[in-house]
Amino acid sequence: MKRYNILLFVSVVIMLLLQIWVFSGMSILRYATPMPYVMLAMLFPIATPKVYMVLFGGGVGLILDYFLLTPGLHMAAFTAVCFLRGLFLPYAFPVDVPQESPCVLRLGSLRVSLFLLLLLSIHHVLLFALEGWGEVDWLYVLMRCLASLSVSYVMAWIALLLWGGRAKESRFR
Amino acid sequence: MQRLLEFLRTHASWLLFLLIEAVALGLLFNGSLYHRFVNVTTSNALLGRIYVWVAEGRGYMGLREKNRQLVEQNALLMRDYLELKQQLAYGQADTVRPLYILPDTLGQTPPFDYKVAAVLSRSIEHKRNLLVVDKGRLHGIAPQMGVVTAGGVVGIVASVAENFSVVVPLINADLRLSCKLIPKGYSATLAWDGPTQAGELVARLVDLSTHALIAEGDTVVTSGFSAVFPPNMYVGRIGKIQDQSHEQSLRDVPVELGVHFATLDFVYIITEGVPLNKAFIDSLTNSITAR
Repeated sequence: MKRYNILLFVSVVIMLLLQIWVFSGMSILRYATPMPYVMLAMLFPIATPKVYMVLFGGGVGLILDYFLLTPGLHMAAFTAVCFLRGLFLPYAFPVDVPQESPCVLRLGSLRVSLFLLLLLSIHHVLLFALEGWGEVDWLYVLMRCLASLSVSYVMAWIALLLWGGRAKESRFR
Repeated sequence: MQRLLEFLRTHASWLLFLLIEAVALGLLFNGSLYHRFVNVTTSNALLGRIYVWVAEGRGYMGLREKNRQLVEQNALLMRDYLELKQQLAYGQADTVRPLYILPDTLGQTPPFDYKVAAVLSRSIEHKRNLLVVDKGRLHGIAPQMGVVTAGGVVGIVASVAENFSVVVPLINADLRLSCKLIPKGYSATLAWDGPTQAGELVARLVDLSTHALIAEGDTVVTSGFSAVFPPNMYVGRIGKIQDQSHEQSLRDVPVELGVHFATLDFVYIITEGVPLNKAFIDSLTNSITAR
C-alpha cells in the first residue's frame, strides 16, 4: 500500500507537470487543448472519502490555475469532477469489488472507458462554459469543447494504460 | 449545538464542495482579485525560476527563426544608419549645423530607450490574454510602459514585481489602443473581442469617423495621443473588409496585427522616449478639471 501511495503521488506530480508545460500550451487545429489530467480522479481507491476527493480536486485545480494564469477556472471544474465522482461511482461498478482498490484497476475496460468519458465530459462542459461566459459565439465554444474532449479522452486512455502497468508492478493487487 | 455538529459532519463533503466552488467562481469573476492573483503569481520566485527554465528551452528551440528575425531587423537598422550618416555628411559639408541634431532645449522628449525582455508565459486563446516577461521593477520597468517587438506594438505593462512584469497585450478585451490610419490619417481605437471562429487573432477598429475612406491593406499605427507609445509605431494593417454598406463596414474594420503572439519570445519595453510625459498629462488634466 505504501508503494502504491508513492506511485500515486508521483503520478499526480508528473501529470500536473505535463498538463502545465506540455498539454496546456497545445492548440491542435486551433480548437483542441488536451486536458488528460482529469484521469487522476480515477487513480484513487473507490472508498476514498468524498471530503478528501473534494480537497484533492480543489488543490489540483488551484495549482493548475496558479501556473496557467486562469484563476478559478480549473479549480471550479476539477472540484466538481472529484465531487461527482463519489456520487457516480456506486452506479459504475459491481458491489462485490474491493473498496480499497483503485477504480481503474477493478472496473474492467468498458466500465473504465465509460466512467472516464463521463468525468471528462463533466469537466470539459463546465470548464468551457465558464471560460466562454459572456461569449456570443457559442458554436465556437462548443466545437472547442468537443475537440478538446476527444483529444483528452485518447490521451487519458494512454495515460491510464501506462499507469495500470506500473500499478501492477507495485504489487498492489 | 449537537445537531449542528452532526449536520456539519454528515454534509461535510457537500459544504466543502460548495465552499471551494464559491471561492473558484469568486476568483474567476472578480476582476480585482484576478489582478491580485496575477501579481502574486508573477512575484513568486519559485514560479519565476521555473518559467525561466521553460523559456530558455523554448528560446533554444526557436533559435533559427529568431536568427532570421534578427538579421532582418539588423538590415533595417543598417539602412537607417547609413541614411542618417549620409545626411550628416551633407550637413557638415554645408558647414551648417542641421536642426535635427540640435538637442531639445525644453528637455521634454528624452532619447528613445528600451529594455529587452524574454516572454516567460503567454496565452492567446482566451478573451483576456496576458503575458509575463522576465524584467521587473529592479530593471526600471513600471506600469503603463509600452511593449513592442520587431513586428509592431505588443501591449502595455499592467503590473510589475521585482523581477517580473505582467503585460496586457493587444489581444486582451480590456485594452483599447488609440491609433491612426496611414496614409489618410484618420484616428480610431483598436479593440479586441477574442479569437475568431477560425482561431485567428484579428483585432478591429472602432470609433472611426463616418466619412473615413479606408481600404484593405491600409497601415494602422499608434496615434501618439497617449503617454504609452510614441506616434507612428506599427500596429498592423487593415484586413479583408466584408461586402456591405460603407457605414456598416466602418463599424467593424478587421485589423491583422503585426505581432505573431503565438511565437512571441522577446519584447522591447519602452522606458524612455515617449513625447507626452504621463506626469505632465496628468497635471495638465488636473489643472483643467480644477477650473
